[in-house]
Amino acid sequence: MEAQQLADVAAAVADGTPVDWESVESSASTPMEREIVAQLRLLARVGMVARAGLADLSPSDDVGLGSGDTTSGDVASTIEVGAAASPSRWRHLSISEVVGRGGFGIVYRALDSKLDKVVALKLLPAASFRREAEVLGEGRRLARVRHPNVVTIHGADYENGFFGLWMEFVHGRTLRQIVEQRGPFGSDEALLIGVEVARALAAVHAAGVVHRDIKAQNVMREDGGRLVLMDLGAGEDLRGITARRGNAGTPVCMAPEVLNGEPATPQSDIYSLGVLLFFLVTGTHPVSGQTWTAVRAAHQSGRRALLRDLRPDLPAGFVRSVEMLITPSPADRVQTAGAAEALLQQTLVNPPRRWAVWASMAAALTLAVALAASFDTWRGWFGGSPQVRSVAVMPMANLSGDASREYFVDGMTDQLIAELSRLGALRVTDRTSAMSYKGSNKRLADIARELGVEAVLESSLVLAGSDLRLTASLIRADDGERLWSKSYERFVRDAFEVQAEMARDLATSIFGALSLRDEPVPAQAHLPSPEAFDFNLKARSILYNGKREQFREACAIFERATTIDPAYAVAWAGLARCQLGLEVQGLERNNGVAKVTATHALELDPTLAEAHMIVADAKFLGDRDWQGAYESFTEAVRLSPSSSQVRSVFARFLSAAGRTTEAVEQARRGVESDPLAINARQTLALMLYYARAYPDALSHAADTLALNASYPAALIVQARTLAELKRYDEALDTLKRLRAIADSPAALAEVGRISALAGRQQEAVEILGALPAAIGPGGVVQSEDPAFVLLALGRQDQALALLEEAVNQQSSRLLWLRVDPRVDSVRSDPRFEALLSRIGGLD
Amino acid sequence: MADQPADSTVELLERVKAGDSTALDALLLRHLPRLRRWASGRLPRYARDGFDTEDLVQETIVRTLRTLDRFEYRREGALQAYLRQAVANGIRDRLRRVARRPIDGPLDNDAPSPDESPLDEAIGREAAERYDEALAGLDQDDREAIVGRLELGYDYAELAAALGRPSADAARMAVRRAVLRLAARMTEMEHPG
Repeated sequence: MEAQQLADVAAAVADGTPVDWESVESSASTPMEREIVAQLRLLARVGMVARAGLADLSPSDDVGLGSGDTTSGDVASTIEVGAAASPSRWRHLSISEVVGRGGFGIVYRALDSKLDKVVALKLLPAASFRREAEVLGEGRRLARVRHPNVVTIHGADYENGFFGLWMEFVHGRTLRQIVEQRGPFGSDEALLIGVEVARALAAVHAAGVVHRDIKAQNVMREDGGRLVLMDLGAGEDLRGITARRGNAGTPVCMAPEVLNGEPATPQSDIYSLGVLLFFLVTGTHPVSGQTWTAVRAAHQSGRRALLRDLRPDLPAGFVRSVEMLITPSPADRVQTAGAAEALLQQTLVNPPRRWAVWASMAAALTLAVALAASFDTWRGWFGGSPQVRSVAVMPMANLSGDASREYFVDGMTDQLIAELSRLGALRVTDRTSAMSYKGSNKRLADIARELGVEAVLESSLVLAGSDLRLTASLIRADDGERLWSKSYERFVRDAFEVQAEMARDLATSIFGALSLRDEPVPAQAHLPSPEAFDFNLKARSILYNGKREQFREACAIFERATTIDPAYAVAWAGLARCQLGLEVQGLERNNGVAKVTATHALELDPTLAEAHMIVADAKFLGDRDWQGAYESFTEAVRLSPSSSQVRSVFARFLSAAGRTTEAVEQARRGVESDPLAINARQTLALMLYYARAYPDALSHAADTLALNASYPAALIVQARTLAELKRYDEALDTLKRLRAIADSPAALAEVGRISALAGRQQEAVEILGALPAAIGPGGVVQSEDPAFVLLALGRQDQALALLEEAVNQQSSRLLWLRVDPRVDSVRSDPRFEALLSRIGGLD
Repeated sequence: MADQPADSTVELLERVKAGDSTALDALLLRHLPRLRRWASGRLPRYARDGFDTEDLVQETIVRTLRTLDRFEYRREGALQAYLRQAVANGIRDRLRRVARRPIDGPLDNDAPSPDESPLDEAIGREAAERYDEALAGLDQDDREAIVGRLELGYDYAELAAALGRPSADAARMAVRRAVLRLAARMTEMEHPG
C-alpha cells in the first residue's frame, strides 16, 4: 500500500468524503496497514457523528425545539442505524453518498438505473414501522403528485429492512439557510414564496395527503430560482412514534391543535404556512419554547410574539394576512390552500407603497412566478416610482467606539461604493468626496446639493466581538424621504458578504430598473476569506490615505492577503496598483510586474475595473502599446462608469494621444463622480491646458488649489497656464510657492523657461547652467528639463537634440509631447515629427 | 487576520478575567455554538432528552474562561482544544452526578442503549475511549488539528488562522498528518508492543 493512498484516505476522513473502504482494505498488504485502515475507518465515523451535530443544528444555535430541527440525539441514532446497514445498492438504485440526515432517515445521492438519472433516495429503517403497507400507500399517493413546486417522487418501496422513497435531486438552499445567511426577507419576496408554497400545498392536499411538516428547512430554493416543497413521505405512523419519543417534529411550527394531540389536517398545514411566512420576515417563530410542554403552555396562555413588534416596517396588509393564517382556532383559520394562495396574492398586488413593488418585481423575475397582473399593470406602477440616478454613499459611521477598527469601517464604505459603481445607469459619488464628509454635521440635503446627487445612503456599523450590525438607509435629498432601509446582523467574518449583499439589495429594490435594462446586477464570484478581506482593507487605507513612502508597506500587506486567499482578485488588483505606483515613482525598477499582477487579477475576475485600469496604464507607460491601452481603458470605464480615478487616468491617456476633446470630457465625468477629489480636478485643469482652453484651465486649477493650496501638480498647471497667457510674473510667483513645497529639477527648469519667455535671458541661462547640479535626492534631471529652457531661449537645434535623447531614455513625461504647448515652436520641424512617430500614438 | 486572532482572543481573555461581561459574551459567541453541537454527540441518550446540553456546555465554558490562569494561551486553536476538553470533563462530571432517568415514551426494541452517546453508538464504547485516550496523547499541534477539523468542523481557512498555519493548504496538510498519527497511535494502543 502506498503512502500516498493512506494520505488520501486520511484526507477523506478529515473532509468526510466517501471512501471505498473495501478496496482500501484489500490493498493493505501488512497486518499493520490493515489495522491502521481499520482505525481510520473508526475516525471517519467519529467525524460523521460530529458533522451530524453540525449539519442539523442551526448556526444561530437556538438548540432544542426552538430551532425547529430534530435534536441531534435522534439524528445520530438514525445515522447509526443507517451507517450500520447502509447498502451500496437498494433495489435498482446504486447509492453513492450521504447528502442529508433528518429525523426520519438518511438521504443519499443515488443513480436510478431505470430512469438513468441521479435521484435522492431517502431510506428509513423499517424496524420503526408498525404498518408498512399503510406508509407505503401514502408514499405511492405522493408519487402521483405532479406539481412544479413539489419535489417529484419517483417511487416508494420496501426492501431489505428499509422503507425507501426516491425522488428528484434538488440542487439549492433551504429557505432557512437563506434566512440565516442573508437575513430576513422583505414582505414582498416572502409573499411570493408564500404564494408558491400555498400552490404546492394545494397539490399535496388534492392527493389526499397532509404534509405535516411545513417549515423553512423543508422548502428549497433551487439554484435556478424554483421553489420546491420537500420532505414528503413522513408517514403518520412514523411521526407518531418519533413524536412520542419526545425529540422529533417541529413543535414551534405546528398548529396548536396538533400539539394537543389532534390529527393533522389541511388547516394545520395552513397554520404552518403562516409560521413559515412569519419566520421568513423575522428569522423567528410566533410561539416558542424550549420543550414541548413549554410550547404547548405558550399556546394555552396565548403568549405569542407579534409581527408588528418584531418588524414595525412591514406593510399592514402583510401583517394581517399572516395573522389570518396563524389564527389559533382551526375553524377561524383560512380553510384551504387555494384560499391561502388567493389571500397572499391579493396582499402582493396591493402594496401600500409603490416603490416596494421594485423589490417584488426583482423577486418575481427570480422566482419566475406567473403573476395574475399583466405587464401593463406593472408598468403603471413603475411610472410612479422614484427615479434615483445619482447617489452619494456617506462614510459609514463607526458606532463601536473602537478607533482601531476605523480602517475596517472606512474600507466597508469603499467596498460599497465600488460595488454600486458597477451599476451602469447609476452615478455614484466616488470615495474621496464621500469620505470628506466623515464626521461632518452637515445636513444631508446640503451634502447632496454640494455633491450634485439625488439621494444619500447613510449607514452605520457596530462591531462587537465577532458580531457585526450594519444599518443603512437611502434618503432622498429634496424631501428627506426614506426610500429604503435595512439592517444586517452577521458575524464580522462575513463582512464582505454583508456589503455585497446590501449593494445587491439596494440594486434590486431601488435601482431595480437597471436590472430590467439588462445592466448587470453586482455579484461577487469569489468570497474572500475574512482575514484576506481585512488585510485588503488595511492596505487600501494606506494606499488612499498614506504617503508615497508607505507604498511598499501597502504592497506587503496586499501580498499577505493574496497568500492567505490566492483567489482574491481585488487584493491582487490592489497589489498591482501599489507595484505600478512604485514603478512610476521610480522607487522600484521591476518594470512589468504590475501588469503581470493585474493580468492575474483579471484571470480571477475579469470584471475588475481597477485591474483593467492598471493593465491599461502599464501598457501605455511601460509598453507604449497605445492601442492595447485604449482597449483596456475602455473596458475599465465600461465596468465602472462611476469611478473617478478610471476616468482621470483614461483622460490623461487620451490627451497624450492628441484626443484632447475626449480627454476633457472624461476628466469632467471624473470630477462629476468625485467633486471633492483633488486628483480629478487637477486632471481636468491639465486636460484643459493641453486643449489650450487656458481660462478654463486656470479656473479649474484655482478650484483644485481651493481644495488644497499646496498641491504640487495643480501649482504646475497653474504656472504653465499663466505662462501661456503671458502672465509671467504670476507664473513665476506660483513656481516660487511650488518650489517652497516640493522643489525639483523640473520646477527649476520651468522657472528658467518662463524667465526666458519673460525676457530675462540671463537668469534663464544661469538656471540652465545650474540644472545638472540640481540633481538631488529623489530628483533626476531628465534631458527634457533643459530642452524646454532651450526652446524658450530660441536654441531649437540644441533643444531638439536633447528631446531626442529624452526619447532614447524612454522618459514617460515625453508621452504628452504631442499636445504640450511648450514645444509649439518646433512642431513643424521634421525632426520633431520624427520624434512623435517614435513615441507612437493611436491610429 | 491570520496573524492576529491570538491578540484579540488574548485581549478578550484578559478582559474576562477583569470581569468584563461583554468580552465574555464575545468569547461565548465565538466558541459556544460549535462546542454545543460537539457535546450533543457525546451525551448519552438519556441525558439528551432534558434539553440541558446547552446549559452544561455554557456553564462549563464560562467557568473555564473565568479560571484560565492555568491555561497558557498560545493561539485560537489551543483555546478551542482546551475548551473542548473542559466540556468533555464537564460531561463526565455531570454523568457521574446525575442518576439515570427513564426515557419518555415507548422505545423500539432495537433502539440503542440509553446510556450510550452517539459516538459510543457509532464506534462502540471501547473504541470511543481509545480514541479519546489516543487524542490526549498526541502532541498539541496534532490534537488541535484533529479537534478543530474532525470534531468542531472548522473549514481549512479558519483552521489555518486557529493553528497559526500560513494557508488553508498548510492546515489541510497538518490535519492529514495528524489523522495518520492518530490512527497509528490508536493501533499501538489496541496492540501494545
